[in-house]
Amino acid sequence: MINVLATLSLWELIQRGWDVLLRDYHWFITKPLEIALLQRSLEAAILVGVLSGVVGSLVVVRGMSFFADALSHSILPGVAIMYQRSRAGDVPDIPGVRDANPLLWGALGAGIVSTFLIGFLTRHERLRSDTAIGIVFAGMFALGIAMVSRVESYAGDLTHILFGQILGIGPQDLNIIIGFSMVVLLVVIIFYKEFMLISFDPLLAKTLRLPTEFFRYLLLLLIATTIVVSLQIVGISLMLALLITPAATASLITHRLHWMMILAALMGSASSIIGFYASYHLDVATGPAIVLVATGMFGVVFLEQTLQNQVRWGLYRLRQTQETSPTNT
Amino acid sequence: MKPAIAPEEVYPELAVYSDPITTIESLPMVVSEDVTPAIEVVNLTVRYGQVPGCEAIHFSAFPGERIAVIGPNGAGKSTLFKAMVGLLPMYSGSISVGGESCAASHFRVSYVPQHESVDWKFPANVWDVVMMSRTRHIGYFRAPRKADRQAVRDALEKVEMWHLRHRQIGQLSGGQRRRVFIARALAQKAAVLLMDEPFAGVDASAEAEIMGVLDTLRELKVTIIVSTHNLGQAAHHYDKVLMMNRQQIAFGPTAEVFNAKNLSRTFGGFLTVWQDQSPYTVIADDSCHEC
Repeated sequence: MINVLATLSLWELIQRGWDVLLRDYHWFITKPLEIALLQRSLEAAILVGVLSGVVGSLVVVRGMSFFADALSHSILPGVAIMYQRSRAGDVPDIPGVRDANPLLWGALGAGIVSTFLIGFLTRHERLRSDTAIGIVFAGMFALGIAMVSRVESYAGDLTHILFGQILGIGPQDLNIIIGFSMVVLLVVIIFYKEFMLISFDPLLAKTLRLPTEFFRYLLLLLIATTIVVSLQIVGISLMLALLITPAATASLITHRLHWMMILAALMGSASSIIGFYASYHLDVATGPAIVLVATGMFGVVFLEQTLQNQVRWGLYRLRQTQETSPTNT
Repeated sequence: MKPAIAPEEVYPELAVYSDPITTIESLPMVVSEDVTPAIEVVNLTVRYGQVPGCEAIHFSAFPGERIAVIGPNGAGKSTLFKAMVGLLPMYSGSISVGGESCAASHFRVSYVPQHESVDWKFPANVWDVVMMSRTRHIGYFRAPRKADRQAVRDALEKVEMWHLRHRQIGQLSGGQRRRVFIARALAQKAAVLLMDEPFAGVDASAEAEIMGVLDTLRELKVTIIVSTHNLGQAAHHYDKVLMMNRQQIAFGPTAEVFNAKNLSRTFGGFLTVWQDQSPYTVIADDSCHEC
């Protein structure tokens, strides 16, 4: 009886909340979008959510989360170089670089350099891969901080790089994010079965004479590109959460790779949308808000599954005792 | 386990045995004029740097034959398999598959890796895993076609796993997991199936289950080469035995080569063998208890 009452009042609560939402729909949902800057940020956040969900699934199944974390930190020197040059008004006169945020291109360059450096160091297994990743990661990150520290007032700018600055996204940036996202998604779709094979059984891939090294570097490049594109949304230090958390949540729900990618993309973009509105209404930084929503989703799914298992186990035990008790008496 | 009776007392030839390691010329090779061997390994040596992995391995297997590779841990069984499937470069010697040079036909050899080296939590079901072996047949930029789906279905039906095709691979039993990998080799249309320790960590019923599938493969003329620790099984269920410990000790029909002399040389005297009339009885295996 108490349970019924509790569900009723909960239901009323939801209804009342829904009424408020409908009445204040304009204030809640559409008003933030009237500002072009915010609309752009939301679009970028959704795209990045989809992209990091798809690429993050590959990162999760291959157990590459340390590599992804390291790579996101290693792009700092590239960002720092372009940052100094843009402050000095000395931006390379290349179409696309000139108009857009030059930091993006610096990040991409540094990401590619770090990728090949780690790939080169781990070749022939002279070093354990996590050792090689650690060395490159710490070295590049230190180089980046040293470079940024030469600029006055660097503390504020460093914060933006480390934790993201979604409001800094210009129209050109959005175009670049759209372009890169499309390319990365297309590559994943085209080479889906090859990526799956190489992730699950590299030995079979080699016996089938697939160019495994090529696909390994291609995947590293896709991860680097995803990180660079997501840089402005969540920043360097929270990048890992965007890649790992939605994919991990999806992996709890499904056991097929393509569903995992689709679900992770949905959950990533949902986290972006919810996190965006939460950050607007609660006046929280956008990057952390998105990551917190994604983490919350993971927590809910994990708890739900644990409870489900408990209930299933309980029912099983109950059935066992019911089956055995008549024979005992 | 120390035997009560020393092996020399049971087999006097063990005590006086002092021949050099068998040379290739003296091996009992099956000579067949009309059938091409499914796989022919000629004087194969594989080295890691200067360290030999396996040396002077020389044998051939015919379609439908089932061969056991036995030897202690570190004898180079996995090395041999990896070289046969093209994962390790050959230092010297050659391998031909179905009469062709192996460079063009390595994919006709299928390798089932050791159980521990597979990520069983990977988000893939039985169907996905078997379809993976069709990657080369499907080709780049293409989705699986009807022929590929049919091949996967046939393979799964042969190993009686079709009804479990939607299962995630981690939710399968030990015997079922091995059957999925056998189905994968079938879908690959492999002529030779190499299985690395398929019976490690499975119970007796799963072992019988896998053996049943291997019998089906024999009818399909697939050559099966299995590395195993289970000597009792090796004595009963295989046509031929390859004994190796870095070098090749013996190769030939089980009845001819599976004897105390060869076993003792393979396992370096740590193994003690009793042989009561017909069924082989193998007892005490010190070298394997250390690992």
